[in-house]
Amino acid sequence: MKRLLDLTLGIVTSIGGFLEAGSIITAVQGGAQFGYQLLWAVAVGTLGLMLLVEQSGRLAAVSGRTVGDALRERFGINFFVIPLVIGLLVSFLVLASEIGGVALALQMATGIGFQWWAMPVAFAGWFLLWKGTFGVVEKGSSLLGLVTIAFIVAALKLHPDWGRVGAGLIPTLPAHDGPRYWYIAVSILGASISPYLYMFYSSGAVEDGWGVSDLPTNRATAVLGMSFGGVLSAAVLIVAALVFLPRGIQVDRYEQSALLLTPVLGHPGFVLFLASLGIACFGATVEITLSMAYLLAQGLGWDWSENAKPRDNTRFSLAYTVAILLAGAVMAAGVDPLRLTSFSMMLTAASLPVTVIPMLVLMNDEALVGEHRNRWFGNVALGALSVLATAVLLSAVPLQIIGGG
Amino acid sequence: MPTHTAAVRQKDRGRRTWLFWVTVWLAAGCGSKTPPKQLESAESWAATTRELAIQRRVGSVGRAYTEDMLEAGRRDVREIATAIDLSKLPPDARAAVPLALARLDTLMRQTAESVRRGDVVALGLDAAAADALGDTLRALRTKAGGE
Repeated sequence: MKRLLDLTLGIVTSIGGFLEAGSIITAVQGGAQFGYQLLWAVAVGTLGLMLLVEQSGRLAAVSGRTVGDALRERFGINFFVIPLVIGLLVSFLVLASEIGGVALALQMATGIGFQWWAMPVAFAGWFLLWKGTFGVVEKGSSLLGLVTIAFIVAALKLHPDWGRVGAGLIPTLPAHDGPRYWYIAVSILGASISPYLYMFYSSGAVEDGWGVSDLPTNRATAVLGMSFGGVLSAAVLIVAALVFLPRGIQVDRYEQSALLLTPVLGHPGFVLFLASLGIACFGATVEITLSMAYLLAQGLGWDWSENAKPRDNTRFSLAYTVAILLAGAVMAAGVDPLRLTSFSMMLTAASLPVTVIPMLVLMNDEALVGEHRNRWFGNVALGALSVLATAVLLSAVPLQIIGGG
Repeated sequence: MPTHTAAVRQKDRGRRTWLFWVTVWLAAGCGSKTPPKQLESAESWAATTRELAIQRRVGSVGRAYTEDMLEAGRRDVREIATAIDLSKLPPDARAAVPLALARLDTLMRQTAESVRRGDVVALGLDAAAADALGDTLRALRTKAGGE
């Protein structure tokens, strides 16, 4: 019974924690400009994340090591510095954009500029991390994040043509604005397969003391939780395709996306959008902050645990304190949240090879995962993802130049 | 010793290459748009104004949000009006584009005033005007070579 409850909670938290500033805005932009045509990018991103979450959870459950620990031990500190620095840099930008997402939701609700909300939001996130345990941080924000199911309700109420929705799952070349199409496609991939998500997941598995007996739960959480999460992202894109595309609304400012649910749900739609944005971004804010502190602590060999008191892990607590307050300061300085989000999603996509390719080695290392190492399917899928990640890295700079405007 | 110098040189060249690409990437973030893209953006603001007027009229969106959105849109439209390179437009669109952008700016100000007054009749008229202006901007974008 307890196992079933854990499984349900794991799946529910995966759904509630799936959407964040990047996945919302990239799906809205994709739907508003290209209709259902970019649904395949959401599907590929979700499959990629599902794969990495399952494998990083398996690694943690079998070896008792997080992805960060395993990377450092297997490849040495000289190699580990690369994913460490890139991971921290990218996560910092994503963190700032998530704080921007919460601050924008508050701006739209109150009329007070987002810059004024940035530091209070950062402080609220820090307070939760300082006082809360891992369970509170992970499950609390994710359960509240279930409000994002409003996007699925709106998509169903709009009665999309399911045949055309299905056709969107097959990659096709765009009829217009090719560079922009590929730019958004890569951004969707970056928003879906964020390294912080599986780094956080593997750290969480170690925090919760997972063992081999938790492998079925891990697989079910990865497959079902990420699938439902992907459906949420797809719902955002479908609603944008049905609401914004026919009206000719593109999203040049994040705030325009708040009009997404009102034609379908009226005033409650406006409130639900703000709640979804605020809660989803706040959940992502605390998770990314924690993920950065985990990565740094694991890389430098510090003691780390969100379940321990801050005074017992001073360097770990200091790391998340500095990260969240600095990111808050970036937004308080008035950086455009949409530009920052788009840029950080592109950067996230470009950074994927650094963590995805070494996973191939880790998941085949008998010393680490023993008999639970990857079979042919896992290796082929991860290999394909590595090729995709490399292609994304190579195309990121030209796409940012010609399609990012 | 020569091997060491060559290695240092290669390292320096590598660093310079990275620096070049990072600079290009960062510069791209501030890159300029073509006139059809700028007109597309203005057209989207006309559509946003229309939607804001309709949604505010039935009370679906908050007053502060609507006013902020219109103010942000005006800033973007004025930025487009300043940045657009008229020499890249066909001769018959050169006079019409600044005029349409100025009309859009005025309409957005007018809509914000209707929101402040809570005048639902005026909001209906503003929505209709934004719709018509959107058509004008679309026609101009097509003339400018947009898809």
